[in-house]
Amino acid sequence: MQSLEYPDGSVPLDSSFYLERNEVESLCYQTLKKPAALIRIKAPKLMGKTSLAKRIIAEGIKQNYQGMYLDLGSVNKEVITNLDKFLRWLCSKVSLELNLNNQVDNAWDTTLLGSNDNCTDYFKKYILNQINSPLVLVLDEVDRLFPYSEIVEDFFGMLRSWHEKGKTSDTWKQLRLVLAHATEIYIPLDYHQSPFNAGVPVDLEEFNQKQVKDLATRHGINSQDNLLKELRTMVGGHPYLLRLAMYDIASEKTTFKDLLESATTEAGIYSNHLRSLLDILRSASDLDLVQALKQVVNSNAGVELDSMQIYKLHSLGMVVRKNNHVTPRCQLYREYFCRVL
Amino acid sequence: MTANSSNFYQVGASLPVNAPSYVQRQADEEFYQKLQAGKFCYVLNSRQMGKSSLRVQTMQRLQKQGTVCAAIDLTGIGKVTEEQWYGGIVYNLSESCQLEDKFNFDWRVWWQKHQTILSPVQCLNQFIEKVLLAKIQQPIVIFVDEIDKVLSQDFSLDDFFALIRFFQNQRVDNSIFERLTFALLGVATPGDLITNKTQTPFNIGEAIELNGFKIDEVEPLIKGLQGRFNHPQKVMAEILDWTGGQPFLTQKLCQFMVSESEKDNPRSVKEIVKSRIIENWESQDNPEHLRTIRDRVLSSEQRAGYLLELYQQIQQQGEVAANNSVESSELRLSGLVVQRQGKLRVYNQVYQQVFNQNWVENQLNNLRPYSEAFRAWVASGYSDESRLLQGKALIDSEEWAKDKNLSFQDKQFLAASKEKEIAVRNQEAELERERKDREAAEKINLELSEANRKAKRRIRNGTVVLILALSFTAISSFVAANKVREASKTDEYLRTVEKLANLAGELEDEGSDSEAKELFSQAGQSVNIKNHQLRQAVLYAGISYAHQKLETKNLKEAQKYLELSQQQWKHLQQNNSNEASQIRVLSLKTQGNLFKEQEQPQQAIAEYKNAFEILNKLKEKGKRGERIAEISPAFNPNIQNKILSKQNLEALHREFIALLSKNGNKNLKSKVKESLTEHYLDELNNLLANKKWQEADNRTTRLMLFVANREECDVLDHDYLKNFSCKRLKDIDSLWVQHSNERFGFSVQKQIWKNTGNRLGINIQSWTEKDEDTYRSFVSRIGWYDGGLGRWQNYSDIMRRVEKDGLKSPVGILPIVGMVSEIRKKIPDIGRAVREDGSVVKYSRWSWFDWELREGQSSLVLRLVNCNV
Repeated sequence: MQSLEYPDGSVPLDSSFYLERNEVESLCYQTLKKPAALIRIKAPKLMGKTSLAKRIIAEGIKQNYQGMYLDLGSVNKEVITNLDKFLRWLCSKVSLELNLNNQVDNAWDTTLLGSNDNCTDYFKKYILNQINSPLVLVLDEVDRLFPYSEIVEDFFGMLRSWHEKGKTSDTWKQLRLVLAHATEIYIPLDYHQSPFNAGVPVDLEEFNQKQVKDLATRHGINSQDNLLKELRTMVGGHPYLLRLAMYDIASEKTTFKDLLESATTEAGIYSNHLRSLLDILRSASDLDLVQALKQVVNSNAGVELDSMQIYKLHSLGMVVRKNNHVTPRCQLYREYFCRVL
Repeated sequence: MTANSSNFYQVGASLPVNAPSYVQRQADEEFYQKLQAGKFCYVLNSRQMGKSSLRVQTMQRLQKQGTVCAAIDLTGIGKVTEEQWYGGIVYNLSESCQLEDKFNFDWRVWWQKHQTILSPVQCLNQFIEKVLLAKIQQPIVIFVDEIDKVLSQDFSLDDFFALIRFFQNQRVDNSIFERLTFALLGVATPGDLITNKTQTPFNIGEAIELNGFKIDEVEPLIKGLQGRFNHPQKVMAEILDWTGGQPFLTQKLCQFMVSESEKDNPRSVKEIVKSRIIENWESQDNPEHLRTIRDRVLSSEQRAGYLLELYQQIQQQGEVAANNSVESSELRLSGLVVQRQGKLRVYNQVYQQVFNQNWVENQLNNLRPYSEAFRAWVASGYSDESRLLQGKALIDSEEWAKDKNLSFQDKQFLAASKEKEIAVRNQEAELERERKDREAAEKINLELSEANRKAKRRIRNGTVVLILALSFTAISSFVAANKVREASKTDEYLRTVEKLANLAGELEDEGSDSEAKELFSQAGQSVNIKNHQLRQAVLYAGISYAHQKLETKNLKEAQKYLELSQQQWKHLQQNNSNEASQIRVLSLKTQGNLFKEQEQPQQAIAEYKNAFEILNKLKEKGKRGERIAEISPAFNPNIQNKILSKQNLEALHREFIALLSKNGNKNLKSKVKESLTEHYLDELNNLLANKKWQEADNRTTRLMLFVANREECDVLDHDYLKNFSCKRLKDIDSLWVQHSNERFGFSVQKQIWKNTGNRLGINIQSWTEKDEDTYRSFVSRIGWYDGGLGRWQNYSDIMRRVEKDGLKSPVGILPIVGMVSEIRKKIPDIGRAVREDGSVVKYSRWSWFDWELREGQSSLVLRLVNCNV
């Protein structure tokens, strides 16, 4: 058994605590090798999107592709609100990461072309044509862009046109695009003129019973322990919450029994996680979001909510959804939010 | 061979050139052949029908034949300026045709050089003609995909389409253009893309129809099923049965069947369609397909109702004859229905079951609860008020509309309904009020007429009593000197007065009010005449006149009394005193009327003319307001012995005018009219000097009607006001201004009219909301309208106020001259209109009368300005 690993951010490539899901990885790797591949990973927070995306890059590198991971969640708002700035930023960033000369200032000319065409031309000439191998470009947290109507339609339209160019152009066949996002696309966008209606969609599901047992075994925990069942009742198949519990138990910081008893309290191991969710919820611009969640955790049956609220709660991973009915993601959330809201 | 399930079929996006599941259709051949022949083609169709895949395949086939193909995907260009858009086209063409690689051509340098001297579209024209066609010697086909994206730019791309047509037309003159062909692909109708019919290339191009897969075309798809099913053809046939050959759904269902075949107990096509496509379709629809259709049908609230109803018909009847309506082409463009042999049908069974009867009904319910009434109202040009909602229907609709983002027309409809409802309610309330008022008024009238009869009797008796009282004073002073003679004279006088008063009373009873008034005043006036014969003459003339005017017309008696009268003042025949002249006028007037009654108009005219001339001599220069004028003897303060009353003089003029209208000359008539006007001005001056405001306003109105020759109509409309006599307007205004310390008068109102920003002389067609606003501030300022309560003051309110406050009343409140009506209080301020931007404005619901008043006011002010008043 490998040494324990505290779950923090994406799971390192060499970690033995990364569980492959049913054929998700192999589908991605297979797709990656196709010309002009487009992979869309969709799942709520803390489900392993970034871990998967990084593995896709790693797979590419194994094939002697170039790889590039870009987290749009960390881009300045100032950049995101202006299409031209944003596209220049994208080109510069990719050039630098790939150790190419940054030619953006020389090449860019908006007296001749629109920002999209400038960007397209730059990617073709100064990136794709320079590297002589496929490029795996991962754009993580693209939902960050959704609220910015100034750029959303044009940017995604451009990505779609890149994908379509790949059907005929050898240069564009080299681009392998991976997009990851937590929310549904709630913006009024013509799907058919965006990447969201093309390529291979990948949904990340919660761990099933078998996978939970597998994960326990990897932590040196008896997979037949009845308390493991109780943990599953408490946090469901939530990858992060499971790992957090298993880490503490395996490192003997607590016992199963104590952990379960204190799980929903301030003294429990999830208190940081729960409090940060509460903060996000309370600082949300939608003041009714708290009310909406309150309704959900206080109801035994599914609750019907406004679709925008469903998007937000779902992307935070707080609820699961069946059609338009929403229930709490797991018992932990139900009990905690029942108490604090 | 067993195909790999993950890559054989492709669901969504265009298929790569070598995709094994690409299905060749009739359109493939047609598109290829026509482009090969250099024909301009367009593929305008619904989503996910395989347009882009068709393009990719066709490009490859053409390239194999040596044709150079350029592809422009308008999705990639984004929202840009016109220059950037055309720049983007040139860039894409250069890239597609590899001009840089093959010819070392730098499009940027070329573009920059030409951009400064040519418009963007001319640059593109030059580029294609001088660069593209010059460097490339092979045929060139330019494919423009997602052509509907032109609609999202801020500028018109009509020029671009016109350029395509231009190239086509140029072929006759320049054979190099025979090598150039365009192909446009997208989701739109030609009419959506270009508005100018004379420039459109679509009517000289070839429409390529893209149909669903047919059973004899789907051999490539069957390959993917082989080895997985015992009868792949049968499975395929079932699939097509459900999808109608719709490419996206067919690929998707094939893929589902392949993964199903890997299971232990594979389900049938029908079961798969049900469980993986139809049930919970909204959450299973990934990549989006059904939701796109739904959104396209419902995208516009305004149109959705029409689309749904047409669809419902098609669904219920199985097929409906196609026409060229917007609805049918929109519905086809959504992909939901297909046109075959001139009939519209639901595209396939999947749609049939997803967008089923229930779904349509739900959507229609979501739409508007009043669609039928609404459409009928729209069809009537927004005029058929019977279509507006009322009562519960209106309440329900308003409830329904609360959280909806309604179209402009919907808002209009609801607002109009609301408006009408309030109006109806107000009208009912108004009718009720009116009924009560009427009953009250009738009751009062009844009491009044009784009181009136009594009052009249009292007045008549009163006159006599008054005369007697006065006479006895006179008598007592005479008694000492010449008792008997004077006593008999007084007795004679009193008997004559009584006789005249009785006759005047009879006239009054007969309804001849003005004649009665004249005679009463004549009787009263006589008291002031000291000379016995003279006063007898006045009374006899009166008696004569009464006999002429009574229903039991007795001209003999009239003649007798007139002669009696004349005898009385015979001794004054040569006298030129004021008194004598006055009695002469009265006598001549009476004689004139007698001739008239005797049907001797010429003699009558002669008498009146004579009277009129003497009257003119009787006028004296004096002050009328600030001006010097010829003052009528009835209003001349310097005349002590007033024999002629204002009623006598008015009657004189009017009788004379009436005669002249039938028989006389116009010149004289207009002189008489002028004279009467002057007389009225004197009367107005007198009323104003005595602060008789209401009577003065009344006099002003009647004076103006008289001046404008509108007495019979009782209305001064704006045409008359526009041409109203400047001189008289000034006369009237100066009297008001002078007697009110410049508080009342037209010129005062004019200044306020201008200060409140009102326009001049506008007719109601050009009356805007702003005009209404400024008009409201005008009428509020002068006190005709209570801005605070939003209520019109009626005439009696205003008069009560003026009687109470006098010269402390609002500046400009008088004169009113009919510009405020009692009708106004009945007009509720309830109108609402919805502007284009959705905001609601209030206006009052005007009757025609109100419009007249507004126009009138505006015209009056215009006239004042033009007349320099």
